[in-house]
Amino acid sequence: MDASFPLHLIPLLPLLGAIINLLLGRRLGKGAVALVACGSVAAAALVATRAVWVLGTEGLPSGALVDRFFQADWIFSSGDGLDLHVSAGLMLDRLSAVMVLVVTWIGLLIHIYATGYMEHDPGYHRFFGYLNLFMGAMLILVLGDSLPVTFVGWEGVGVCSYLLIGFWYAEDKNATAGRKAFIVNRVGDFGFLLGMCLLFSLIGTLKYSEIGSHMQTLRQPLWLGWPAACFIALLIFVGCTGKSAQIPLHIWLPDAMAGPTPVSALIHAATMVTAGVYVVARTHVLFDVFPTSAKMVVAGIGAATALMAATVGIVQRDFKRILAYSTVSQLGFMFVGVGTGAYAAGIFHLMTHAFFKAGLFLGAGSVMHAMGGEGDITKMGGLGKHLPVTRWTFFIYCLAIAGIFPLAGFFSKDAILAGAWAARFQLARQGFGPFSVEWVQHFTQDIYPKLIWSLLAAAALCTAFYMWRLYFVVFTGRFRGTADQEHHLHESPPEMTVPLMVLAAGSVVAGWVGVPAVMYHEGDWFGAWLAPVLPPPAQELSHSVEWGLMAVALCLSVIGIASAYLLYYGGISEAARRAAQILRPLYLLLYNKYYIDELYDVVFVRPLKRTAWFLWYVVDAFFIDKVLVQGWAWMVSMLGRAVRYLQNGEVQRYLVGVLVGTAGILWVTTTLPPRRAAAFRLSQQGRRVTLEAGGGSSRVGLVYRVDWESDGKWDEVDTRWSTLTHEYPGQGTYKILFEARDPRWGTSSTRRRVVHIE
Amino acid sequence: MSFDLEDLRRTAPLLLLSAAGLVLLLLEAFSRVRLIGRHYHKKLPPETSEAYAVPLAGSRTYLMPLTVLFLAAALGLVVWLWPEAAEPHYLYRRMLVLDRFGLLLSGVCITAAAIGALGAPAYLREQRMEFGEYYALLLLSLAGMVMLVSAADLVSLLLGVETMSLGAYVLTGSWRRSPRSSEAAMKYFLMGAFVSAILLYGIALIYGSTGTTELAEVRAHLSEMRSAPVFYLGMFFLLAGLAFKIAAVPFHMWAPDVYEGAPTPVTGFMMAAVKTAAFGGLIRLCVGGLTSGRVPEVSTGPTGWVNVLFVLSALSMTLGNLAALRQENIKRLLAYSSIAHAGYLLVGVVALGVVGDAARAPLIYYLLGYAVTVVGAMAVVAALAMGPGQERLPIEQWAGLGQRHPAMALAMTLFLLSLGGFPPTAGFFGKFYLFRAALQNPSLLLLVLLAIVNSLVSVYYYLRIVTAMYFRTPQEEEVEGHVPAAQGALRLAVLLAALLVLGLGVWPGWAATVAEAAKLAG
Amino acid sequence: MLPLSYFNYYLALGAVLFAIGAVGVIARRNALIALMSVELMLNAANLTLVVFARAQHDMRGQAVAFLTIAVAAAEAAVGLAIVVGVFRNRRSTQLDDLTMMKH
Repeated sequence: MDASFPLHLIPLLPLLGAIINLLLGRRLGKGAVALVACGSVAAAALVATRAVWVLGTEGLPSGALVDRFFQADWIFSSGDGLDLHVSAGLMLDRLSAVMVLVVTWIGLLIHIYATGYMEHDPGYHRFFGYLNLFMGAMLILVLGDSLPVTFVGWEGVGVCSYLLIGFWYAEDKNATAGRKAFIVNRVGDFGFLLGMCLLFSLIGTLKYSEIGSHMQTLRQPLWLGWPAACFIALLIFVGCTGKSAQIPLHIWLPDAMAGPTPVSALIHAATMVTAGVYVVARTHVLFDVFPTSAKMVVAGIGAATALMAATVGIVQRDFKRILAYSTVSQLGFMFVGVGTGAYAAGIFHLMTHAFFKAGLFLGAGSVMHAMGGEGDITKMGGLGKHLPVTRWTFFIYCLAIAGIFPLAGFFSKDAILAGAWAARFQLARQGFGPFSVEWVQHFTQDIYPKLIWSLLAAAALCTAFYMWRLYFVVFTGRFRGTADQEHHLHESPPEMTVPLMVLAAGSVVAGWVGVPAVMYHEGDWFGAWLAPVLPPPAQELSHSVEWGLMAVALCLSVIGIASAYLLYYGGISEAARRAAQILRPLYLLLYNKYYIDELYDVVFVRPLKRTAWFLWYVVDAFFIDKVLVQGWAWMVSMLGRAVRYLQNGEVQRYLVGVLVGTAGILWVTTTLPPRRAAAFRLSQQGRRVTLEAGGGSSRVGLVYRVDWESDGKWDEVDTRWSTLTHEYPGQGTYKILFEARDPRWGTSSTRRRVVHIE
Repeated sequence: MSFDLEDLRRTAPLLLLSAAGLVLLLLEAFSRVRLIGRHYHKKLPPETSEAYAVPLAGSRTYLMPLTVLFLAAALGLVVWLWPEAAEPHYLYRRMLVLDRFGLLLSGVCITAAAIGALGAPAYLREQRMEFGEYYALLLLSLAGMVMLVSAADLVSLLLGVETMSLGAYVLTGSWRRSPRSSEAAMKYFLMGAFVSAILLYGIALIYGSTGTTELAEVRAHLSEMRSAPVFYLGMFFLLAGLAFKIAAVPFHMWAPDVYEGAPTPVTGFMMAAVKTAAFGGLIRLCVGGLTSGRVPEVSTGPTGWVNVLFVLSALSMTLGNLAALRQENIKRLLAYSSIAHAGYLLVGVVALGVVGDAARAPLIYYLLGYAVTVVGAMAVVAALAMGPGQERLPIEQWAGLGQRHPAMALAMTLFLLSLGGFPPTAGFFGKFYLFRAALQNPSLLLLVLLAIVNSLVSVYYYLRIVTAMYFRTPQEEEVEGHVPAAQGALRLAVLLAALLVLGLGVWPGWAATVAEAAKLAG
Repeated sequence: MLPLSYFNYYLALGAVLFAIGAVGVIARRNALIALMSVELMLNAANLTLVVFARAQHDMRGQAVAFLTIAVAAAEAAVGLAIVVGVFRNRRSTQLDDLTMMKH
């Protein structure tokens, strides 16, 4: 027996807020808009907290709260033998509980922050309308009890993301960034949709709680001997790479920073982009199926993305862009977590990251607010003394993301690294080409996990370095901007600084819920909370190895911070400039983000554009415009003339139309069927000739006669059989005469055909 | 056979609607009016310059709430009879039948009428054409519809059609000072009467060849009909009569003129309720009277009704859409679109003949979705009138409404998307269910393909209006936020229709289950 | 087949009256005459009903004819009211003048 809870309130409240703000916001005034926006989110957060409380305190056998109100047949269609049932509902289990709390509470903080940040924007109500809409969609995403409901939220957040990236749409760059995000996401969504269709076609349900009971079917090989689950998992993962900005679909996220900063914090750091991680964890049964190639792909892509983005982050100059790459990189960490089977670790990092990354973005917003919108960090410097709160909270976030003990990032990153080290992937039981079974096993079980760990460790080093480079360049040294900017430097208002402080506190303590067992044997409370939903990692590490890994990670962080200190404390040092000079090719490669945008431009965009050119000039301008449209227009105008002639306003002509129409239909339905039936088919077998009347089902009730030799004598008269056979006595050429007649009207039609008999 | 009092109870909605119509007629007769000369409204356009009667302020305001109350009560009676109607009951010596099919379609008509009635007074007052008999005629016409959709005999079918139509003729011409309105009424009436005669002649011929007018008996006697040409001619005439009421090509030509000329709430009422009821009658006739397993050629034979409706369906959707592409007047555009929708709906009737009962629920669902959509769209048109005698009809006057009247523009967009068949609206699932059911028989593949191509074409002209509302700047300035007619009740009507359209689209399963349960007697 | 013999003449008369009525509605420009022609069509159908009833020794057709007479009366009333409405608006009852709405 599931416990019921009005879960629909959680997404509904922000959606109502969105409706009010979008429809009435202009008239309400800023205070009321802010009140509606923050109030609805706060109410949702309280309801969500209550729901999680109920979930945690009442021992529910199924481990989930469901919404009875919102639980019914969604799409239903019956046909012969193929019934289509899609039900929709909301569900809160321990996994979605984590997500809901993160989304609502961090969302609330960012809403509050935005009331200050967007103060002077003319699109105030529109902004909060979209932001609330986003909250509603995101909550549907995490509360959905089946893939389609999640997908509804998934698309909803995509749309909001598009709207908010291009929020200042007057500037072309922003609109372009919005479009880019949308299109790249569509590519991923297509995979998600295909995965859903494939899953539904195999097991006929998309409910998370029911997928597990169909594993027998899903383990069946689908193609190349690989199980169906593997393909479904990979297709869903394609969607996740789009939404969570993983290689090769990561390119939209840095451009998405064109949106207002609270949006970057909420959507493009703390919540929406982590949806991919959530979905992988949600559908983990599909990823767990042997052979675990899907997980290898997830972990591999996660690790590659983590390192790639971290290295790019080292050389960027735009404040928010650095943070964007950092987000991509941290998402890579989370994917490694879920990809190596350390699901709890991945979700743990998702949670801690939400705190410090949201904080980092809000801090960036606070800095840019003070700088009058300037985002280039080389023009900043020495801001620490002007913006003390921003500076010290930023300091804490940087410590957290670098993974310094005992801040949040340390514990979650450590859990992921340990998971990667311990992972043992399995691949098919046979060898591939030149590779023997033993070698493949050796590779997947020993080499591959260590490879992933090393990539992650390198990424962690880079993370510490670029974050502290950012910190030192922005907050230490002397100011490098214009005097005018310096004059206006000021700390942000309390509605902006208070969220910063709350998030900073969160960044310190959020990790304490998941202290590894080696430190404190009941410390991993977070893993225990998720244990009923997400299986713990299969392999345990020995204590010494785990301590060792922790020490290595901490050392790498310290090294990263120390080198950043040496090179960038008090401003960009001469050594840093020289290093960039010496390593210029590498520097350029990183600065230009590995030229991936350019690569896509050459491989996809330009051929597409060329195709588009072709489509435009040849297909569209010539074929469609000239032939179809103008031809169509010509046809329409011809028909229009006919219509005009009849529809000339004179009622009596209409009456003629009625009579002519009746007569026409009468004529068609009485003369056409015999005519179609008379068009007979012949088949020959030696001297036997079989004749079948044409017309298919519309020949019911007709009668036929046939003259096999055309000698003027009917051989069969008024038969109702539509298939007639005749055996000719000898060889020769005969002419067959066939007549179909409708006895009710006396309409008939005759056809002749020549047949050769050898 | 004796007259059974139970029959009265089982036709309670019909009786209530008729009685309510008469009550309202009486009330109207006793309400006080005074004449106002032409000097009173100098600003009126010339065509509205006749002296006319205007009621004393407030003297008639209770008519609309009373009507809605009656309609709600009728709807309540429908719901009350629903469980009982699981098994069909024949009433009044097998003239009418109580079954869930009839009840559900009655419910659809009543709902559409109620939404339409909610919006009417604001419009009538705005257009200076308050017309008290409006509600009485609405209710009496509705009584005809209820009779039509529960007809078990050709005679009750005819009476239903006539009662429904007589009300609709007068409603069409109820804007007495508008030459358009009276022209529309004249055209509608003359063609309607002509077609009624054809219908009656068809009944006579069917009676002559089968010896009965009762649908179930007609079906039983199909195998021993006395003269096939007489029977088939009669059948064609009956089909022509009902095809006229649903505005199928080539019996459609009244529709654009009448829908354009009629007062907007009446147009909505006709597009939604009259069409639904006429389809109900057509289904009763075709499935209840003209489909027999023993004589398949009456339905699926070469001259069977399936073939006839097949041709009508293909013609309706194609010509309706083609003509709609060129329209500049929104009511006329929606009139042609309603012809095209008659074509899509006929696909469902054809499927009823070919694949059988599986097409019934989708057809009912489509009718429901279509009815609430057009009623809503017409309510928006009524709400956006720009002053007395000045409706917002040319599409260019819809430019920029997205900013001026965001709520109304949003609702209109929703209705247009539903008409075009976009998810998540009622129109999408209507088409989805209907075409899916039709595809169960491969011989309908071509027709369904044609329907799909046609719905794609139709998107063009629906989106033209949406584009005008959101992406074009208005030509001349109007007073900011001035929606004279959009008063509380009219807004409520639009909101109700929008919620229904959206609800049916987001949560189609519920309505589909109800439609599934709405079995046809016999 | 029907036991027709002399009934055929009545049926043919009905058909001819129906056709005359139809032609009248279509061809006569005056709305009132068009209305009269509609009445003729209805009566032709009535005649046919009665003839069939007589031929089959069944009362149903005659009962229907009575109903039809009532329907025709109602139609005539509404029709005349509409003609009056049109006349008030444009001082004419010619059907081919009613071309305000077209295409």
